[in-house]
Amino acid sequence: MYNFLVQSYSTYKGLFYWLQWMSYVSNVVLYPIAYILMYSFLGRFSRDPEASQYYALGIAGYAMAFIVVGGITQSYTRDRQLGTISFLFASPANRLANYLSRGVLHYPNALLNFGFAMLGAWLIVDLNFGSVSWTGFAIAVLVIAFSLMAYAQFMGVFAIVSRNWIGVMSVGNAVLFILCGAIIPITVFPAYIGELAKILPMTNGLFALREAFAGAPLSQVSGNILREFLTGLGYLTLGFLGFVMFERVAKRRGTLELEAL
Amino acid sequence: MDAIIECQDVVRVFISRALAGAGKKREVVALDGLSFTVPRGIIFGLLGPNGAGKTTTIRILTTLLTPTSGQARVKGFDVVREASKVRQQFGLILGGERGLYGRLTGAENLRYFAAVNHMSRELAKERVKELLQMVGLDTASDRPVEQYSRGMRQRLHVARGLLTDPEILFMDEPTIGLDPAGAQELRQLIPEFAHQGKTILLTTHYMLEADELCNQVAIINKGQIVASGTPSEIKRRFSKVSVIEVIMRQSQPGATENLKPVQGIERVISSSDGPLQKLTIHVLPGIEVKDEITQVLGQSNIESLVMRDPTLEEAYLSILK
Repeated sequence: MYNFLVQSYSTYKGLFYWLQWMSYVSNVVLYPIAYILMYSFLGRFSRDPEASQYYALGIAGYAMAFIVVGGITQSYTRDRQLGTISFLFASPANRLANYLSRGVLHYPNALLNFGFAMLGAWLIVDLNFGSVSWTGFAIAVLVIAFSLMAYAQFMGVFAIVSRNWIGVMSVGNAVLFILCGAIIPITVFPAYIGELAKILPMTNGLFALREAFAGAPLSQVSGNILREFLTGLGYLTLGFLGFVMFERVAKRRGTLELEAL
Repeated sequence: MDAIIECQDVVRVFISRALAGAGKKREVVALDGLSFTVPRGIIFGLLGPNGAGKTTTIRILTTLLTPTSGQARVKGFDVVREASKVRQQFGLILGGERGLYGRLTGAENLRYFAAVNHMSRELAKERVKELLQMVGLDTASDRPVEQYSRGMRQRLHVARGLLTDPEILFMDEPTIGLDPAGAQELRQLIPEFAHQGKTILLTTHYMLEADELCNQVAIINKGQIVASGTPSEIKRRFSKVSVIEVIMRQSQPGATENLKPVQGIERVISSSDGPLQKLTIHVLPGIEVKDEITQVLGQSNIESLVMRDPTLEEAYLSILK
């Protein structure tokens, strides 16, 4: 366990370049509040009282994706750019433990982003928490954060292959923003897009989050929470398989140390 | 002596395509049937020009690259089929700026690599402290590596390679980019590792380094071994010239031109030895030219005239020509 924590700490501190106070505050505090305000007022401006609440919860979920996907994908790209990944791959390190350790310390950042988003929504947009079923709501948040972290680990494979975490993060987050129900209900899409959206992270979790916010008990939202958790587990597994495959292919092709694609 | 590292007919071909994979395919043969063995407990030098295949060889032996064909073994374990066992046998020390986490301190970098090598907490703590002291980084251990000088980073690379106290050390151009003092300090550590019973495979293109440190050397060129043996054997066997060094009392600008016509003289290199002129004369073996040299330069102008063994560099250049 100690070695796992050392790996988590080292990859977090060594590779997460937003860990300077100005970047951290702007990404964890200011960004979610700004986005919440923008979309909540947009909803209010649309004169649909439901829209403001719908957007606030969706954007709070999306804010988690921003910090976690950005944080983890840059870690993977930097590990390759710095040449440090070669020393990992030349060692007898447990690949699964190392892979899992990379996401651990980014998880609390997702919760912080969500917290600040909700704080902004409560203070400035007057989001009403009076009906919230807190157990289901809290569990939904924790599980969405987990599945986003897993999704980020999966996107990390693309980041380490392409050495372009910004591009990977942009595409990965755009897919979530458009398709997961953050601001656009998935019911407006054709049926096949709706089915695709259900295997993306956050989609099922947002259903549960919104229902719990409106007062639905845990028993009613547990199905969506479970689906969200299993989605996350799926991405975590795919990401690990991709990580292992990357090592094998890079060693076979001799591309591990390449600077350019 | 039993072989602890073996390469047998190792071939490695790199394939690249222009235009991000859509263009013309290009093949580069980095290793072309490489075969050599390294006995246990020695410092073995792998010398060669840039692009000869030294780094490719190290990467194959450390499981960072798979060979296209052939076999390579480290401590009896095949580098492809038993890669996980191979990775437990060695420490890797590379030259260059890359390979460390700049935002972590020196101690934190070592703790991370101790963790990935499954070292216990107590052993890692003890070993990190001991190694930082050994390489002279104990006072800088709490500073981020991005603040380290080039020499300090290289010493941290060495500390990392020794973390698990491995029996085998692979060192790929460890003194590259270091100033002479830094390089000398590092070179002084290497024989100590060998005295501890370690086997060291060192790649370099600094001949002086190989001559000073290595018990055996192999010269690699275009992916193949072209010469191997002890440094003395290589100098004797492969140098195509004998060397005469002349120190002149007074500088003679035309000395080089005047000596060239002398039969048996292959090459004359003029240099300074402080205020005096030094002539390094390459002579075909078996031809006596001292009398002619004395006659051309003038006995009274010659401070000293000695015949010496060729250096490893001179032998190396003869082999590569």
